[in-house]
Amino acid sequence: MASHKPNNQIDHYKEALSLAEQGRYDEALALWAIYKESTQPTDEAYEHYLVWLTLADSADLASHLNQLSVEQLDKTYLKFSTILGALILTGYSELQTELPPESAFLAHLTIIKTALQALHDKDEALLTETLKQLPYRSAFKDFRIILTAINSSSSSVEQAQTLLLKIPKHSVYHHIAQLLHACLLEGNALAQSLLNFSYQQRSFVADAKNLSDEQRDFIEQYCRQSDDLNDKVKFSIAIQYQSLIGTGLAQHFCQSLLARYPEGIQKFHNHFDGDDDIEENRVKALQSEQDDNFYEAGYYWRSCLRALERIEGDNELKMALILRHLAEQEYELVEKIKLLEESVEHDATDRESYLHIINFYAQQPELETVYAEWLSKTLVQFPQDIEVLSLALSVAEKNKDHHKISDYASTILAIDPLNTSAKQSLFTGYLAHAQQLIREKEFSLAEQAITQAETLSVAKTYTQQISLTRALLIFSDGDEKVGLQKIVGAIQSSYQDPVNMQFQGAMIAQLHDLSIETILEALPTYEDHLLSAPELSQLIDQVVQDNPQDYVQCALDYCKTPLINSLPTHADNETLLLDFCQALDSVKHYNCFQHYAKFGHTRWQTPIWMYYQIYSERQGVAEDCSFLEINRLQHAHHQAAQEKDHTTSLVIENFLNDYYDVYPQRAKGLVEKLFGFNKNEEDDDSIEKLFGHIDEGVFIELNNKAGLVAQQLSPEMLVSSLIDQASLDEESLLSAIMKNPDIFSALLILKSSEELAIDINVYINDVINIFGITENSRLFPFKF
Amino acid sequence: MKTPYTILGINTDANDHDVKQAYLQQVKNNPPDRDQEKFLQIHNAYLLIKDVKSRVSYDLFTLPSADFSSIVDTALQSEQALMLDSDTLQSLLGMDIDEACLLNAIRPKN
Repeated sequence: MASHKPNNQIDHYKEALSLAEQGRYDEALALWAIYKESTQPTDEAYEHYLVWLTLADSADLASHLNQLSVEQLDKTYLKFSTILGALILTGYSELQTELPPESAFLAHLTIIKTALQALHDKDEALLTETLKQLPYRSAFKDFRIILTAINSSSSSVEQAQTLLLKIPKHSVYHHIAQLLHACLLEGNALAQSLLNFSYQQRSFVADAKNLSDEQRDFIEQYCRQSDDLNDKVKFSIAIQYQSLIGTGLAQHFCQSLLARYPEGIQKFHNHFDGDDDIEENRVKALQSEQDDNFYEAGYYWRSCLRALERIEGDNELKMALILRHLAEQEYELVEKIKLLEESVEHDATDRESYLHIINFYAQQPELETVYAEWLSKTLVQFPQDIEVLSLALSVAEKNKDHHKISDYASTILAIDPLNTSAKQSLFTGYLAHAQQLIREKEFSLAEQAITQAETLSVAKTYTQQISLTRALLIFSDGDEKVGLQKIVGAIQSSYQDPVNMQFQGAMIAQLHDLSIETILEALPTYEDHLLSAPELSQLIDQVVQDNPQDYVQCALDYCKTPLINSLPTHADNETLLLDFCQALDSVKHYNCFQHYAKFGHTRWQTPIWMYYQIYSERQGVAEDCSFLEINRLQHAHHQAAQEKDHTTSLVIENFLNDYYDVYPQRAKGLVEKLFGFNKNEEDDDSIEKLFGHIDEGVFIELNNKAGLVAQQLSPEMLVSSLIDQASLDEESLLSAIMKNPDIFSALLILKSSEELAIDINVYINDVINIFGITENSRLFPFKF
Repeated sequence: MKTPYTILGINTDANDHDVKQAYLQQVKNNPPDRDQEKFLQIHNAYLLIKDVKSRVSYDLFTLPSADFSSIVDTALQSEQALMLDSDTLQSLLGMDIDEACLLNAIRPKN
């Protein structure tokens, strides 16, 4: 090879390359001849020359091929030999006769021909095996990928596509790979791919895919319009190819396109049924929803419903689905339920709608009858649904309807024999029924009910209830002595301690119209028994059972002494005492409650105990609270909120709200009190005399501070913090506050001015003088 | 845009039986161990239209697409995915080889 070339010789070669690019191969060959005369061509230049000879279909090609050595064919001119391979495979088989017979090229060609035959014979195993013989460095390297892709396309189209995409752009087989790849595509991907092909190539793909004439026509139309595929063109294509894509899709597409191509409306009506109110409103509703305009969407859905009502045919399901759809978007619960109720009138098979409805009414105690009606309707629709049956069972239990309890529980157990909850309900139902029958003197039927309960294999603890019920039966059926022994025996086997026994004895006696004294005398007495924590827990469980409140109160009265005496035993168990207070509150046994609340408050001094003490002392009536108590509760409320004890904060807030519902004027801020709604004009005057000289802005600041001080300091603490400068004792001031809340307000302003260091020139003795507080104001004979 | 109907290769008026048969056929052609994504697409399409209630619901609450690709997708959907064979290759090899392609093949790669 020449290491140095004159410039004009390089120019000849470059010129030849340029001419070849333009398809002027003869001229390129002529320039090559000049170039070659004065220089030794490079391997690359000679490779080009061979290609030009091929493309010019030159008679000289054979002689050049004839002169190629094995080394040149297999290694030096590998690009040309790759092209040569492609030419031989695509029909120029005569070229191979000029090549050196011992070349690897011809050996590889033989392998490829064998592989092609195997492909033709559909012998996948032989094809795979044959291709393995072809070395990596071969003129047929890319063709092997094509054959592998074709072979794998029968098992995985995706794998074939992946293989075909591996063939590089500069490969002589790239176009073949692209066409084969297109054959494996569908729909939009196919259309996009075909945009890059000539008509002949598109026809090849259409033939290979066996596309219909209409599909071919669609492809050509699509390719022609692809540069300007605006909404008008799309609209027209959809209408033109209705038979190919289906009228439904064409109509839906055009209807949707009308939103941004309104000019198409006339054409739309010409080609599609223009009176389709339902479809028009449906699309508008969905478009409104897409724009988050649910109000407008609701309007269009309602229009849809009206249109569906007007037309003939079974549209019930559509109407039900639209109503459910509206319900899903409705945030007002009552409206949501109304829509669901309407929906099940059209389609009664939707379980979820029924469950929504009954769960809603289950939460509305005042709509008990409506709940029962819907529960009944739901049961008719879903008689074997365990969730619905369980709800019905709960209602039957609440109503003590023994027949229904038995029906529902038995149905549940028939579906799910392991449903312990239903089994327990059935058991409890049988026993409750037996006890009712005992009260009604239907002793043989009672015995039957007890026997039915016995047949259910429930936990051991339940057998004690059977013993007790049977004992009651014996007692009521005449043999009182034996019956009493058995009742006592059953109670004693249920509880270990005399307090729980006495409580249960009192309950049983009341529930079965027996003499309380007779039962309690037969049971062990509690004498000095102190309840342990587990025993108190057992008693809490008994108290909170669903029994008549007056019976529980009476039973607790019988146990009051040991309950109060046991209090110090639980001085370290705040949780247990709180649980018991909650239980006592639920049955409104304020006497016991007061003892426990007072003990708890002395022991812990937390907001909840402050609340329980006041609440129990006032027997749950907020309006009976004194001004001081309300102030204490406000303080406790603030403290609970600060400590993030939200439950306590909420119960106190509810109680305070009850108070303010009765005394709304006391809920107002101090400014209003001072300048607004005070009933006592004398007090107005007093406040005015004390603070009337203060600038309004300063007063508002003092008032804001006063609100905070009121939350932080109880009246006692407030008086105590100011008493040093007062001419009266604490008790007198506190008793004056009890009589007149405005004195407390005035003291709060004083304290606020002190804390804010604002000199308002008002002192505690001014308050005492203006309000006329004297030692005679003292109300209580004891100290706070 | 593909719809459950086009994914399963059925008409919009197909009944429960048609939908199920099409689903089973598609699953047979595209088992989950071969292409999990494709299988899930087929399965989800089936769930959307498997019975009359779900079909009515789908038809009611799906906004018709103004995406032209849904038209093209439907228009150029073949009955069955093509498997390449010897004939396809032969007719392809019978086509004139592109001159530009040959020139391209000897150009330096850069």
